[in-house]
Amino acid sequence: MVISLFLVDVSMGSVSIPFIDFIQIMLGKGTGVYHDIIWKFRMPKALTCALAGSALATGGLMMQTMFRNPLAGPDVLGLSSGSSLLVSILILANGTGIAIIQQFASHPWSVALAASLGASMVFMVIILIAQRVRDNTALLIIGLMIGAGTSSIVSVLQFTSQANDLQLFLIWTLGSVGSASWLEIQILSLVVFSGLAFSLVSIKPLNAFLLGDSYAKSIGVNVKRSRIIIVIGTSLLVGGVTAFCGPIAFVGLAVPHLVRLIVKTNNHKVLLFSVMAGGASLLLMCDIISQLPGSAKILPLNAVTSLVGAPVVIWLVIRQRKITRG
Amino acid sequence: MEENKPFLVQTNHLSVGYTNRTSTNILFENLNLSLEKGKLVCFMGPNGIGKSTLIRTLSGLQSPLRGSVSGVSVKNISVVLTDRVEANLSVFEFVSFGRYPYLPWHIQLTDEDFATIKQCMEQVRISDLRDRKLYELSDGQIQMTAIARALAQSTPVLLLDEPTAHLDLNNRVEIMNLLRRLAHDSGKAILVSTHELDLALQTSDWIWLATRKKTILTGMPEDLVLEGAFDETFQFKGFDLKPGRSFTRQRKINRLSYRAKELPTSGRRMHWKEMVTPFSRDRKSTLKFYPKIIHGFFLKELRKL
Repeated sequence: MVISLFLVDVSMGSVSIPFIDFIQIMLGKGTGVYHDIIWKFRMPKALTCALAGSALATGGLMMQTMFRNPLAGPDVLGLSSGSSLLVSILILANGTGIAIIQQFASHPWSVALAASLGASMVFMVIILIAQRVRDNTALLIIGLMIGAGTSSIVSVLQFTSQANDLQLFLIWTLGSVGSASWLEIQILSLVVFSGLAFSLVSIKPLNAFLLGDSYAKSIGVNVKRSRIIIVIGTSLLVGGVTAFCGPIAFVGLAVPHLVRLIVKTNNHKVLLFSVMAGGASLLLMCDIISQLPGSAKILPLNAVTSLVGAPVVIWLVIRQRKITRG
Repeated sequence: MEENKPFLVQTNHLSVGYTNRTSTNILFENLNLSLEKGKLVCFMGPNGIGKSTLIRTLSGLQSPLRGSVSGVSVKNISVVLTDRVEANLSVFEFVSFGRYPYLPWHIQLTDEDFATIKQCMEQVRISDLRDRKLYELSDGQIQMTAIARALAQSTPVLLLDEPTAHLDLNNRVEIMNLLRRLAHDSGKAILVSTHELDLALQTSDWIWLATRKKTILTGMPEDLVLEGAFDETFQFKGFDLKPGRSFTRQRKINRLSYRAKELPTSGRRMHWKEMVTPFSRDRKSTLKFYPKIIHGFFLKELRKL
């Protein structure tokens, strides 16, 4: 499923490429403009999509299990908003005339760097708090509050900034998987795969967390340590993706629920891989829709994920009345 | 207790309770207790006296305030807690969690693990529930599943926190008999906290009785009864001494002694002998001791009137 969606995603775009040429190029034969479009533009985009989708979905799954709360998602720990904060400072404060920031902002890598920095800053704060706070609900609330705090700072910055900068920032927040170069993809996949490695190591504690902290401890899971490992993994996944693609909404929250509907178990040994595949498929699908097949226009990705996802989640909630926990 | 038997869990001047920033709430002080192979110990005491806290401390979920517990390890002690499990798991998956201390990170079950899990499910007679989801089970079945999970941990010691709470009489009797069988047949050391006086007295080999002086009295059930230890502990609580319910014609006492939530859903009108005999290990001793408990209890109640 992932592969076929991947191919469909590569084959579609604002420039329509004849089917035969597409096959030839995929087999490594064709040359010319189409070849360039596919290998320099669409392949990286589709790859980014798959990576970002599985990363966000896995992050979401880990958080939902750890907090034993179906509403947990990558946005909830405040990681995304942490990224947004630093990026907004970077972009919006450009106009304020502070020389250092101006110099920094002109560097092409700066947005990615700022986003990662923001995510890891919030994540460091969360880890500090996680060691103090015993239960997960408190941690969840603190995450929400951090998110609220940072977004309010972002709003203030938006309010005081100039129109040009505001537009730049808004484009970033709408999410995009199209701007990645091969080098960026290498870095992104490095980050994502190390994050996924953390999640694989956590299969056992994740399963144990389903029973609650006490039971988890009673079957030999080091609750505190695994919680930190899960937070590190999630931060890597979410921070990395946010840095390169902007804050992509909904995927982290909804994919685990959609996958649970199909897989019908909470055993993470099955669930984790299904969620990775599910996340990749969903984001690829959203990307296909965002290109409006058959037309030359492109929609912002974030709008599509929310547009597609929100009704699905609402339908889910109504149908099941309650979302299965964990 | 015999001196030469190995103690699987032993406490040394143990104090348990909770601390927060401003105060320390000590529930038990200076406990020197031990759990023995092949014995079913019932841990009795009124609600809120700290039974759960002690069990959490013995199993290492909570650190002691003072003193120490020997034998705390996930491969020595398994627990059945009162926490509700609300995950979307099958009975088999849930029971297999008991094998986690022995599994590597990728939690691949070996044939041996499968055999252990199967055996544990047979022991508690839930093999036919293997593929059912936890949320489809009744409360009694969930408790049985939780016990199977603890058994799958293959530990010499089993601690259970109120496994019979919220269950009807049939399930309560079944669970206590199961635990007794496990202790005697598989040689496990089992500690059950409960406030079911009648069942505990009949099934247990040894009683821990929590007192209001932050200590724990231990002894044979019969001895404690004869010493009047139960009366002392429970008298302020209007304790639910269930066999006494046969005296329903004494309406006033009935209303005084039982709070509605402690009434079981079945067996209310049974004569106490009928309730007692099917699961008493020895009809003679039951008949010998029960009138004494009940007699003493009601005399006290009558005096209060």
